[in-house]
Amino acid sequence: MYPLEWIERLKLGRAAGRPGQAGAVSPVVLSLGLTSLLTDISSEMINSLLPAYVVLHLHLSPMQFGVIDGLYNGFAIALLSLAAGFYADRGARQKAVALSGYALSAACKLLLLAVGTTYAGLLFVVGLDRLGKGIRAAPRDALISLNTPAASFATAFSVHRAMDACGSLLGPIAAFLLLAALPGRFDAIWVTSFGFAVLGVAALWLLVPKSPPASDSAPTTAAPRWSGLGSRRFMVLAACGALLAATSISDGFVYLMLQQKSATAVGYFPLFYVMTATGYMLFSIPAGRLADRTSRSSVFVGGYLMLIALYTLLYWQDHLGTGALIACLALLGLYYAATEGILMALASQVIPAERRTAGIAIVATGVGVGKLVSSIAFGACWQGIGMSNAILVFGIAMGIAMLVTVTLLRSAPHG
Amino acid sequence: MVKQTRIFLAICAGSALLVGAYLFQVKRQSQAPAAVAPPAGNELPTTQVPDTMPADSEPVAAEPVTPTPSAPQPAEPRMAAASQRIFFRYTGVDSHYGKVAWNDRAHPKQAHFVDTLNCEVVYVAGGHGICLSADRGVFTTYNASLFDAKTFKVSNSFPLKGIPSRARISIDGTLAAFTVFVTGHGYSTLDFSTQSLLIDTGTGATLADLEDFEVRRDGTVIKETDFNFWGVTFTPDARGFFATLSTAGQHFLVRGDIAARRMEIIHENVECPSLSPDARHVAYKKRLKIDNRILWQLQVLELQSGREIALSERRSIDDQLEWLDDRHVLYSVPAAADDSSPSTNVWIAPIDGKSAPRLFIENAYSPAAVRCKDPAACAAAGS
Repeated sequence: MYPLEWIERLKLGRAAGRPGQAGAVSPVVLSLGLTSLLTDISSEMINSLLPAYVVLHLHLSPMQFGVIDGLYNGFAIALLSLAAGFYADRGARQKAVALSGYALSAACKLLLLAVGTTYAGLLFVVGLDRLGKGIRAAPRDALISLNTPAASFATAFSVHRAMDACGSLLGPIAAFLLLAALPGRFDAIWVTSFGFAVLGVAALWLLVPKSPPASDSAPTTAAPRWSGLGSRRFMVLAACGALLAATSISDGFVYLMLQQKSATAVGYFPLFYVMTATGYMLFSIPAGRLADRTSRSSVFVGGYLMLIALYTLLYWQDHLGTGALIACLALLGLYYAATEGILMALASQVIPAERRTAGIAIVATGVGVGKLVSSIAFGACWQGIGMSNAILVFGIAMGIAMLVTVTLLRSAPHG
Repeated sequence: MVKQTRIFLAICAGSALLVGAYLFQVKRQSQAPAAVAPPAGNELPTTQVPDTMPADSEPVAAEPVTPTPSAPQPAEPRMAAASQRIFFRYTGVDSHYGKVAWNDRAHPKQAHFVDTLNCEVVYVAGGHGICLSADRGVFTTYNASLFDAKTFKVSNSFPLKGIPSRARISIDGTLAAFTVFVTGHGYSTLDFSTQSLLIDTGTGATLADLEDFEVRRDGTVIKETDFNFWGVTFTPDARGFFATLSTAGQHFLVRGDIAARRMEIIHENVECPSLSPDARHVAYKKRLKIDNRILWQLQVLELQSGREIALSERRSIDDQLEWLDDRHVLYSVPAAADDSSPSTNVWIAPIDGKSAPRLFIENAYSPAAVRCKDPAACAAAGS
């Protein structure tokens, strides 16, 4: 019924402990998770220190900055990640490309020691760091799927994402503890951050085997670039991923609405991020296992149902108590757990191994572009027709997008 | 695989050892009080001053070592200022960075630090001070503290909704006002908004949010959802104020009446107004758009005639001006034009629009020239 899966099971017999059994996670995936965890600690240590008033010093209004930042950086990084994806697939260089992305981010931390505490230096380094992130994400996700039997894709991605979220929670805490012990010594932060980044690179370099098995035998490098990316289900997934992202309200706006509707939230805005990440970390693995055992597309669509529930709460409730606030953030965490990694698992299922990196990069870029569109559209809606109406518009649009997704996914079965 | 794991563990141990050694070294350095090392990579002057300075005892002369031999001398003011204090936020990159500091008009180079007050924005008037601070940590939170201008004891403290921007206190010390950028309207979104509150300095209670006031233009009430207010400045009688109202890309000067909870648009393209002590002029920044970049020209508006005078400052300035006296304004300018330094300097410019601006206080931000309604009380407080 699904020949690709069968071939992969055969090929991945060595890498995965118990091939074919849902729930088995290869040590390679754990190593990639460790890499992401260490790198996220390193990056988030610095991101959490970035003074928010950098924006104010640039003499640009936040809106201008957001648009410029989103269009220029987002566009450049999207192009770069697509290019990196295609390059990585030729001759199975996923590990090398991912390694270069992680190494670039690690080098950034060392650069911080040189540029010191100047804002311009910080901004430059953070920009480079994001570039590294753009390069490494798709090859890393390809490595996850290439080292996992198809039956466990969702579990593998969910384990990786849980470890990733854990790192982004630990980073700010590490930075806070260091600064509490050594007030004003930012160089201590840069050095520690560099240490974690080096460990992340070392984990990838030493613990992840070099070539993914799939491309060893197949002389596919001569095949046309887009071959294998033309399957109907792949295109449906890429398009629906982008469509759903474009109809979901960006986190920034959700947090803003939560803050306006709850009295307890004054001044504790960043706590929202932390609680969402905690929810993501906790729910990720259960959602992944459920997806592998039942149906990945059902869990994926279910994730968006969580978002609809969140919008309903935001639309009907004028005031949110602490309990309702936590429920809202838990819904957001659940949504991420049920959609982000699962979409990659769904996509990996239909992209042939020799085009895996490029395919994943295309899906991820579609989601990124969708988010940018949603951010601009929701901002405009809010200003034009008010918060409640904007939620209503986006809720209805998301409902339609979900119906389209379900219909298309049914009409385009595996293969 | 086992071999690789061993190498990885060895690298882990090595990194932990190296980072640990570095942190240990940093800890030892920072414990030795004499050697306060500036953060790596800055070329800014450091000050050699004792770490602790009791604010209410005899102030010790703590003179910042300035690299420029030309000592910044204030332009000659018309008003007699026997012992007028200038409060500011110290921005030199050393252990006092971000602390409240003050100097005497008579000895502008001697900075006195208030090490207990760490502020992003500070203002002092009428014996009361307000400090808007950022507590950076796992979650950065923002707070406002009201303090006594003589003892520096904090009387009231409350959380802010966002990033501190401007703060003012009425000349009699009874009212405070501040503006914050509301968090969440950050640069990742396409919206930004401000919150400006009026505060009772005695109790710390919020008297009003400017968004709740009625706004009139040519006598008719207007109301839009995109109203944003910032840069409050009080009238000398502390019954009224001026502020900026922004809506649909325009920036208006409004005159407000606190008791009536009402304001009226009186001028266009005025941001961050500041009323002169004699209440005749409003100094502000005027928004210019050149090559799609926003630049701010410093201007003074003569309230009676509506005449605008452009100051001789040629740089784009993003600050709410402070009046040193009826003829001179103070404002802060980043020390490096490309924002590569966190330091700022305070400059002085006469309002005639002709004489050139001059450097006034180095490594300073958010200046507040203390003046009192009652000159006798002012002299007593200043001595």
